[in-house]
Amino acid sequence: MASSTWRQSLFAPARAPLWSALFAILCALTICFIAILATGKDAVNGYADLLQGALGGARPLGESALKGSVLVLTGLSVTVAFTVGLFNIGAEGQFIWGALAAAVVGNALPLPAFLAIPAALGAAALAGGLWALIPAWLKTARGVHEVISTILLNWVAIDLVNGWLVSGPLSVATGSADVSVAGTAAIRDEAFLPRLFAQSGSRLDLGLPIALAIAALVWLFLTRTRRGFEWRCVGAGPDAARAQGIPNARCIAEAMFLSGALAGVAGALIILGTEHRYPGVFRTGYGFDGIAVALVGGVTAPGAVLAGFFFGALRAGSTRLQLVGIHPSFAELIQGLAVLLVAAPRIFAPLLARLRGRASVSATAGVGASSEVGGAT
Amino acid sequence: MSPLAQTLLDALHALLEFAPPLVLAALGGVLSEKSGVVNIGLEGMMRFGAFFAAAVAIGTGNPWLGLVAGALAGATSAALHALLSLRYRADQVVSGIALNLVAMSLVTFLLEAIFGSAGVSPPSPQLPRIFGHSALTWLAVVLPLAMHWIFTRTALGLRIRAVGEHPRAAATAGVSVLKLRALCVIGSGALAGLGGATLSIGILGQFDVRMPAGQGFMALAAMIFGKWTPLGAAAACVFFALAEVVQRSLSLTFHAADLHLEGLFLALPYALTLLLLALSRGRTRAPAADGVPYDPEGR
Amino acid sequence: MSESTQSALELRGIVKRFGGVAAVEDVSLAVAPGEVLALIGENGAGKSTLIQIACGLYRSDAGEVRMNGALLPAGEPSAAIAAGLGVVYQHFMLVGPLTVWENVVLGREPRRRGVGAALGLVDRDRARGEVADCAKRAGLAIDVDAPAESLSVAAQQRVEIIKQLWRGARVLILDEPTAVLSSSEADELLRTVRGLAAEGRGVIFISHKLREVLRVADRVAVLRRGRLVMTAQATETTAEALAEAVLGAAARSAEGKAVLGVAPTRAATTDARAPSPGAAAELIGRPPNLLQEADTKSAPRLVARDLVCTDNRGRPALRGLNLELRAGEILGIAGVDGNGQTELAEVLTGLRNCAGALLLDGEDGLAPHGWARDPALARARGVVHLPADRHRLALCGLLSLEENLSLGHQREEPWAHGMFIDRAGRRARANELLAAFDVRPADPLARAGDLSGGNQQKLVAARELSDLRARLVIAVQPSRGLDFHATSRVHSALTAARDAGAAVLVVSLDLDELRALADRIAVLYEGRVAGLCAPDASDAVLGPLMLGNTSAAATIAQTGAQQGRAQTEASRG
Repeated sequence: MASSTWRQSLFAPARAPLWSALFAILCALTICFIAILATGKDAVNGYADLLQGALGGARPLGESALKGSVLVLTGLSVTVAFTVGLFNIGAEGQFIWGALAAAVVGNALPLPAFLAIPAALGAAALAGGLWALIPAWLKTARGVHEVISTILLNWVAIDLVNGWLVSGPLSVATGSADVSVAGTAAIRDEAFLPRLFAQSGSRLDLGLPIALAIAALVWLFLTRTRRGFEWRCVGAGPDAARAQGIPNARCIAEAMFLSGALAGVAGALIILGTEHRYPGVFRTGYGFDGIAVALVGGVTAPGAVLAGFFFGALRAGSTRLQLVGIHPSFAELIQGLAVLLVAAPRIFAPLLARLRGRASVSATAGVGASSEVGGAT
Repeated sequence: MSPLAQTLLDALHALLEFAPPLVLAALGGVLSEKSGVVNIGLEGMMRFGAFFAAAVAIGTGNPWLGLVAGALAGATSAALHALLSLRYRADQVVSGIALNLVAMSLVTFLLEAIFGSAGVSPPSPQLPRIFGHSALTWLAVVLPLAMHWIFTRTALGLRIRAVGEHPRAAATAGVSVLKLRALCVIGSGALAGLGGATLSIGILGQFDVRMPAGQGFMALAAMIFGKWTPLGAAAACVFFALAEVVQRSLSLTFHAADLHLEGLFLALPYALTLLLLALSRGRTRAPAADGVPYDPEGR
Repeated sequence: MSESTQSALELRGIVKRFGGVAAVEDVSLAVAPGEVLALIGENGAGKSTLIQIACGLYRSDAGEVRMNGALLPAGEPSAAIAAGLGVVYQHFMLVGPLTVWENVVLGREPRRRGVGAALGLVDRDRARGEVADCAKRAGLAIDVDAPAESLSVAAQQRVEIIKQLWRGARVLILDEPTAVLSSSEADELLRTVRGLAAEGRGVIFISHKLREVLRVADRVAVLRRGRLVMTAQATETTAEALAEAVLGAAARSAEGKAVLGVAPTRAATTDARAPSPGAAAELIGRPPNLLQEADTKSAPRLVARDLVCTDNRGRPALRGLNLELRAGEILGIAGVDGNGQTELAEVLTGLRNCAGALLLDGEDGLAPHGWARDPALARARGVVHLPADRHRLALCGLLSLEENLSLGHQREEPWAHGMFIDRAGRRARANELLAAFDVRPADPLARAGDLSGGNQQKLVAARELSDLRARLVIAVQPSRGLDFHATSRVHSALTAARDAGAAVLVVSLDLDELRALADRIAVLYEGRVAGLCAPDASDAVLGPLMLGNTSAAATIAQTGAQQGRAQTEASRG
């Protein structure tokens, strides 16, 4: 009998993960609702504010989409690494390097907009990608587990960039300790991402179409090309892939480079779109949230898009929660709980089986179900 | 006392400050992974331990109750990891990561809800000091030896090793695999919780929202570097703590804060850990069934 | 057995279903003290399931298990162990890094007295002594302090038996114990089994091999498709009758009998011929360099000279191996497991580094970028591989059948078109291959990991052997774990590859399989070819070679060829 552990769903052409994700999110929302009630605060108004802050009008919608676009990219970053079987916890570090590279290039190169933006994005991709090659090499050449190496590299990146480069050599006000929180010099106006609906007051910018286009390309690459297939083989069975002549180490390096590049571009979107410099205090957590986006999205590209925008809306809405005295970390709690629940899809198995049984009487329950719902991955 | 002796003594004291949280968490990692369950959630378990130890110590005014609460909080969160990864056969890495995410946000949320603070808790009563260090420090000195002895001399140790290497063989010999694994994971959480409690009520005397600042992951690295043995892991922790001591004193000597070089020094221990892992080729010694879910009716 | 004897182990009306499919259907069996009961049947006939139920690892859906008349609680292995039931599994249940004695006492460790007991301290001296005593009494040689993983397969099996005896097993179940043993080791085991029964233990002996079953058992029970179809006294039945019961209708085909080793194989056919003085020369283990002269008529496809390599633990595996293989022949590689067979296959397919010389149609494989340096290059030169460990080396269990079929061909037509996957082309070709090799289910979207072992092997064969450019085929244990139908399908694919002009190397522990397939048999011993034989070589010739005794083999072959054959006849029953 097929034991459907979570990792197996990664390669499954099944819709079951989507259902699990939906249940997981609903459960997480319910648990948090009860948690707010327990602390004696107004949960109903809190959730109403959350909704208002996420979807109530052009500006909130813009914020949701803006944050969603970044999360889609970090989610894709984690997803891509997963196809070769690597768990990239290091999207945060790659995100930071990408953001810094975009800030530096956006400031340094006097180019017209149609060149300045691609140059900054390219630099960010390169920076994030190169940083991600370190764990790839450590994994294939030295046998160091990527979870450990990427976590440690996150700390290295955070300390080096925030604790040294941005407050020291790259700081706009070198010397005086007071102004060092200012961050790097502002990028040139040409490198600003154009806002799509500036007249409505929404900050939504070109980042949205960029993220969607990248998601579509990643999906096409992973599911439709030979190389994407080879990556999947490496993830599904590294020894079998090697025995059939697929170069494991190379595929892992390529996938990790793309993974890091995606996180780097996510960092660049923030810098080029809203911050316009690398700020002195910059702890966004978008990279870490990418893990949740990828997992809740069932580690597929379309899943990352859906989950990315959902969590983007949650993030945008949670800023409003402070109005009723609830800490914004509450959004992260929902995220964490959702991941905890999708980690064990078996929790929902009885529920799913019942739903399926009701949907079609002819469907043979349980065993054959996973192969039946086959379709496009 | 000569300056050199004084320096060495200072270093030893500093070492006894920095190493114990790492040692306790790393031993937790060894216990869990020896039985075949990967525990990436050490960081989160330490965080729960640190927070609840401080909160209960503040609430009751008794640091010993805080200590118990810290261990219990770690064990409870570990029980969740055990439930997901053993009962529901979740991917152990994902389950651990998810636990970390929940610990990160839930503790921040609780800090705000209980103490109305986004940074630190009020000062908590501290554990009494024996020879200048808390009881937890001395526990961290003794425990590696005790655990080594358990693994090599006792029936329990023999069974734990068997379950982590070849669970089905252990099952056919009459050992209850899932129960033993659950016990080890929960024990692992209790140890990590104690490690967290060391940070809050043992050393700092309050809870800081940044705790444990990656120490859970360092403990994991120490476990790998120590080849999944209690003594090896403890030795690795001492080494990492030494690196931390050296980093801090260097940072002070060079006035790193004034020169905006702090980050460079802060990054040093992590980079060093990576370098050591790269040189030690850790993967080869992991227990054979580490991270592999056990299905009693599987084939 | 008389009616009055109380059964040591009794199964009554056992039913077990997996997801609605019945694996065992109303089976009742009993074994008496001192009796050896053989349980035979194809893969999937329900033997393993029945055992798992008897020892409490599975819960049955109906029926009961009794030991000495007392009912055993379902799903509790410890209760079965306590009642005196011991199982030696096909895949040994030994914890590699633990020592022999630790493995034996695991779960029932003798404790120290006094304070030590409270602390759970193991009384190591007592444990070691008891295990050593137990081994000695059963006449089984073992080093109790050696780590289990350092032992040979046969020694590990002895540890498993000691483990059960130390636990006081009154009934022993041996699950295909001879599958991993050489013929001399198997003989040794059969003697041990008779000895255990003579001491009053009940033994259930599970096997595929009808001849050894008839040698060792008092009674034989046959399972087919989860049902008990026959039980008989061993003295009152024949291999043919058993084969018919095992296979049902299929037994009437000669091929089926050949697979089970009951029908006249080539060896028997040759036996019928009058032995000539020259026949002895055919049988002897010739030094490999002599072969070169004999075979100059066609240039060899593969030449291996002085191959040296290490195994995964860095110990020498191949120690100067010499081998030649011509196009259009099947060379069988015989030998006791662990004499370099796996490593040889890996060297030839580019999966393992080695030193020496390796030529494929004259092309150097060990040059800096030679074909044997990289699996991708080997594959490009037409080297295909059916590995023993197909779960790990041949298939991605999580991917679909069509994806697995394209694995290794994913850059070629019709699987790909430019840089993209040709989804329509892939589906069509996959359907073709699944039908041609009779893979079930023939659903290109099913997951490879969900197939049965036999269908997985057919899937691998479909991918590897459909490659018409194959020049060298390496098949390791091609029929291990396969039932009759799957075995014959894979065998015919291998002979078809040979007939199409490929050079085929078949590694197997099963001499009957090699005799049925090979044109020549090379015996591997400690990483060298100990001798080359004709496919009809008897056990008396192959056996000593497999143990590295070349002179004994030569003596038997030269002076006593006839005697050797007589022995073969005798052992065939």
